[in-house]
Amino acid sequence: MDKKPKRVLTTCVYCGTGCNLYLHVENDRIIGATPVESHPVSQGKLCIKGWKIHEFIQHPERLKKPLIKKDGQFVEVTWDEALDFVATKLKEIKKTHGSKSIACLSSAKCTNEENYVMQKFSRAVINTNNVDHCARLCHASTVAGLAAAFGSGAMTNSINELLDSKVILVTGSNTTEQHPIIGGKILEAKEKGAKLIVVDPREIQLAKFADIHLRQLSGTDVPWLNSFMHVIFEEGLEDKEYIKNNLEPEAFEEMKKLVTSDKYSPENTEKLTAIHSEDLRKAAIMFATHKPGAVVYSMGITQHIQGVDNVKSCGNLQMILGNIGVYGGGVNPLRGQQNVQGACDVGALANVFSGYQPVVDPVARAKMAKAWNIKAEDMDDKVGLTVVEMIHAAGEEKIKALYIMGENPMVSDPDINHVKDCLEKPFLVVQDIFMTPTAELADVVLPAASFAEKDGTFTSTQRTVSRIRKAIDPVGDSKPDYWIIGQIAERMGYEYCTYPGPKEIMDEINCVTPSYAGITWERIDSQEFPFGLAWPCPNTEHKGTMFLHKDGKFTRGKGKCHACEYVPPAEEPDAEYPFRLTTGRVGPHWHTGSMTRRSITLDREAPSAYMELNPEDANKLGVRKNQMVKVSSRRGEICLRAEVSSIVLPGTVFIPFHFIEAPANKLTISAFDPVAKIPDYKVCAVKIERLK
Amino acid sequence: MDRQVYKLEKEQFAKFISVLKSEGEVIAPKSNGVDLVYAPIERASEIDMSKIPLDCPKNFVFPITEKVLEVEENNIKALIPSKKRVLFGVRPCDIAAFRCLRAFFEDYAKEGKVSDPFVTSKLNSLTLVAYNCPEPKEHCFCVAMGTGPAATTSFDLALTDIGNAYLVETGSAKGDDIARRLALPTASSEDKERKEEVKRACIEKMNIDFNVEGIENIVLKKVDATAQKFGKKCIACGGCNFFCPSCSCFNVTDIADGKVVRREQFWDSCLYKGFTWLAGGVFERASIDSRMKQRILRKLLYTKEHFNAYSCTGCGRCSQVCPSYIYMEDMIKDLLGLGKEEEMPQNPYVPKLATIINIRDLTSDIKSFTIEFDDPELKENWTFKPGQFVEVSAFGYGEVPLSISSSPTSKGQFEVAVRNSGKVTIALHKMRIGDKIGVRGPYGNWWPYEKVKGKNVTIVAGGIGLAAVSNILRYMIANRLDYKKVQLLYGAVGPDALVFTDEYEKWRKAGVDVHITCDRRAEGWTGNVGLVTAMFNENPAPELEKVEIPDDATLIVCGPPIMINFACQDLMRTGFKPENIYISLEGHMKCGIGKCGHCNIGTKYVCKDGPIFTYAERQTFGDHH
Repeated sequence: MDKKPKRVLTTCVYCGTGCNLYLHVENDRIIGATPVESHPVSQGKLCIKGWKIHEFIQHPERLKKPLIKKDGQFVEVTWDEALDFVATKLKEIKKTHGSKSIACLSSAKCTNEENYVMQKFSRAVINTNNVDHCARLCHASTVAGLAAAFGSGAMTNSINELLDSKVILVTGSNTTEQHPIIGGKILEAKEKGAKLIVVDPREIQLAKFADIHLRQLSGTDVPWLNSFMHVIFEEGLEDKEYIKNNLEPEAFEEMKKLVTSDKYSPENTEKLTAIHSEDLRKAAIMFATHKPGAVVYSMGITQHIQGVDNVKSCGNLQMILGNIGVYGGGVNPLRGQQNVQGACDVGALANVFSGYQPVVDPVARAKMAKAWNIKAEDMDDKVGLTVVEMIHAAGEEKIKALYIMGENPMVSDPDINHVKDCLEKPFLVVQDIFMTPTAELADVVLPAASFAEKDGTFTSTQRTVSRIRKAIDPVGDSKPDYWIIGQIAERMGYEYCTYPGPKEIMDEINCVTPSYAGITWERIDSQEFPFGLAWPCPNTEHKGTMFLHKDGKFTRGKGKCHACEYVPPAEEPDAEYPFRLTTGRVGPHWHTGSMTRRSITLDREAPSAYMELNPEDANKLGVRKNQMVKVSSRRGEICLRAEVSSIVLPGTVFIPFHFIEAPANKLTISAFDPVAKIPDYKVCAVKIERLK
Repeated sequence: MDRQVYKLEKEQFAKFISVLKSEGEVIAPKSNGVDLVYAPIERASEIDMSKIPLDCPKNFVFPITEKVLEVEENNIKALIPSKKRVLFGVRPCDIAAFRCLRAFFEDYAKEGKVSDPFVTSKLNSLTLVAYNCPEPKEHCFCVAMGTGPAATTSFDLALTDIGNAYLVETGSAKGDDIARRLALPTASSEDKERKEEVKRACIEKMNIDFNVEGIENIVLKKVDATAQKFGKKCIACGGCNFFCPSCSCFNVTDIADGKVVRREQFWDSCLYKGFTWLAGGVFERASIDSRMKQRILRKLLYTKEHFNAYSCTGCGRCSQVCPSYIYMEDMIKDLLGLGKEEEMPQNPYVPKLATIINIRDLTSDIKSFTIEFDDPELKENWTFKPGQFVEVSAFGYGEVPLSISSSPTSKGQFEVAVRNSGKVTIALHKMRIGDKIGVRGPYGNWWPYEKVKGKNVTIVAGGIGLAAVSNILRYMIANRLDYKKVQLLYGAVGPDALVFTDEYEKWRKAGVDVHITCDRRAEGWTGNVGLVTAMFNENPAPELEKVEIPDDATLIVCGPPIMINFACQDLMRTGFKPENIYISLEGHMKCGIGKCGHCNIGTKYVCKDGPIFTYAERQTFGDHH
């Protein structure tokens, strides 16, 4: 690479907002990052993670050489040795135990191209649909719920439209901390006169600006959403024309009957949700009487055993108000990882190929077989194992080999004591940029190149596919993920995953994925679309799509309402474990912390694990501010600092999951939404003891 | 030094750039395909001055990361790069900021201490060519800070585009030398006047209506409120410090990479909580308010004290990069007391514009209107107490006093119940959702909702009078645990005259003992028949239930004046003291502020001293009006 200082335009690797930034390179070192003035979404702004994105990239602890565990110790080996070893083992296991004994965990932090190659590897080389990624842990409910309601499981509108919404309902999203640029736009919308309603158990920063802040008990979203609709029907505020023209009538009547029943009146759900009926009525009327209205949500809606129903209820609410298919309205799930949307779009999911074409559909299978030049009858025709199922199956020794790329289930999955037991059993290959707690358990560790060391694309939460660009050569001997997968496939005897580069992978994605057909490598690197294109983009003349289901024409035809009854969380507080634990994130850190805990400025903002505890509870427990406490659940225990604050109400505690020295997921429960298989990270029962 | 002023014809511009190149690498604003950024250029044609870049040239003087030294096996190698550079096209705000950087970093040298090797040496090996702005960008306010739009000092050369040429001012010996090497002709007085025109046009476009002179004398008093107000939105991204051309806080770290240890200085931000992390785990400035306060004081007070310059130069970058849209110019105006709303004495006769956002039919001649103020400040803050009234204008028809029937739980919004009985109310009835009206108020006193906490409360209401007590009824329901037994005895002439009929069940469910009656029998009415006042009498009529009111209850009575009188007489006969009976009087109120005289009874004005009185007070007024 040449030595002149340069700036490389790329997309941020942290959250799903999709901001662009410049990586500043001097003498092969990335020395900083600055914002991009003309980017339509970030508009010259960045959050702390964007400004300090460079701090992890060339960290000394980057994995630089392939490693094989010999006699319990990691030994540095050549790529040939490592890749041959992996290929041999996988071939052997496939032959002896069958294709379905192997599972691949793809990565929402990797590019679209890499995710596509991973699912192709799983399906064409191994012949299994056991391929999944961490969307399972965050927005699987969104994908399933909105697909059922609208026909398309993605954010319906675009980020900038929020500035023109007249009312914004934010629920289960700590937007100013998790999607700061989007949170800022919501604050600006408020400044311009929009109403803001926040429904969240915690008093997050955004709640301080809300016209109404409803604090529900974590896990009671179906009741309050149904009560909102109860009030709307009672007051006659539903959009009768829109309902008549655009929604399936039978499904609508069934849903209406349920929500207007006495059971879901605000007075009757009050005890359940802890939301005062007067306040709920005010909020529902406020939301219904300002148009257009937008719903913004994130983990607080999705990560529950009723995640899919929660999402469907958000869909119901917006459909009866006629807020779908209008500018400034919509159901807007904020995708977490910078490329979780893309990883879903290109099929790194156990039940679909790219473009959400189902694996159980023989027509879809035939199409992929043709494109991949393989035999359709060799393909797996059943839905494969999802993320947590894979891990548990490994524990039951049904999965004999697990190939993990860019994921850290030892910190991000629920009930990690159990995860550890499971991961110790199979042949484990981990491909990552740092030695994570998951990589520690591996038989083979393959060093991967970070987002700054390769080309590719990410897809943001508003469906915009944009470029990342190589700024420096891969650190040490690390390689781009797509190369590694291709090499393993080759050494197993297959050329299906070998490509000259990411452009050729994208060419193939364009061919098999109708919504991506017009989002070509050339177009999104051009002067015309320097910041990418938003799908659906069906051909190379199309300019991308700002909002979906325009004028109430849903992707599935008519919008479908769903009658959702309340199902309580799997584990609620009781005498032995009297506190309700909800987990989540903080602004300066990212998920399992492998990048941000190694970033000097980011870690300094939140250097140690802590738990938010209400002052009343602290008093009763005799816990002082910053005192160490032991928190235990039926699954495990951790020790951490108590931050005494009324940001949580009495009876509820909050623990961010970033800190591997006190991982919140030691406490969480492996209970899932039956359809989406997403774990309930937001409700379980714990007890708290003061440590001397 | 005498300022030399020359003229550079535009055809000579390429030659000018090549002469500059002899002074070092030339950095100028150029397009990178999407933005204008400061970057090295080879040819004059690459330079793009068409708009002011967001990009900050501070990077060339105080870089994002600076390698300080390398240590390998106890050999310390200090690294002091000093590349000769020319910074072309630097706007006057940045020129002023560089002056601050120089003052701040050079002070080491003043008292014989060692001098800063990085920023100062970069400034010393830099040729600064300023470019005076022909027009401002959205957030520019250099005029207020006294730093632009034309640079006056601290540059080597300053260019102003005067049409087919540039006016070139020299500001140093180096500048003089460059002008000489180019054999530039001196500028004429027309050329100089043209520059002044360009400057004036820019000032006019910037449209600045404030000036910070003397702000250092008042900022300490005002900063807490301003920091709190604006800091609330801050998400501590650091952008305001990073792109501020005069901010220079940095962190230092050692990075061990194999055998080599690198020590680096890199941009840090006082808006970060971790910036003031002390040993022992305490964050000195933990609250965002305290950090915003630090930033404001540094920019407007500390540097003024330190080296007699505000370090905010009005460039507007911090406003552009802020994800929460916090604008520095708004913060400064707030400090100067020039907030968005000027603090002027309000004219009490001028209504505020509001919008009808909902209309409900309560009976055939009574509608309930939900009204919301248009002004965002009022939407945010306006509230009232239960029992107060507002003066509502239907422009062109007049103004009427209306009791607020909703409870003050949502700000900026309220409900009124209106019977179409006169010119104004008939006009209101013809209005639709979205129509505009005027609102003055809230006026009057209020029901004793605080005083009766923990007590039994019984409301007796008649007809539309329920709308004058529904405010406190709803308030008590929202705070149900604060009150003991809450009763409502309500009657109207017939079922069609009852209001809020769809809410009686809700109120019952919320723990209110609700009794409804109609004066006369009517088809379809299966409820109580009889006067509402008869419900608590000793021997009520056969079709009327007897309601027991707790002996210690506080009574609230509202309805037509005759009904109020009879009810109060009956209540007193039953044993209730007139001091414990509260009524709302309907005066013929017009101005609402005790001036027009219409509601005057004896010495009292219903609008000011009421409309709520105890019955005991009422009995002292004299005759009914």
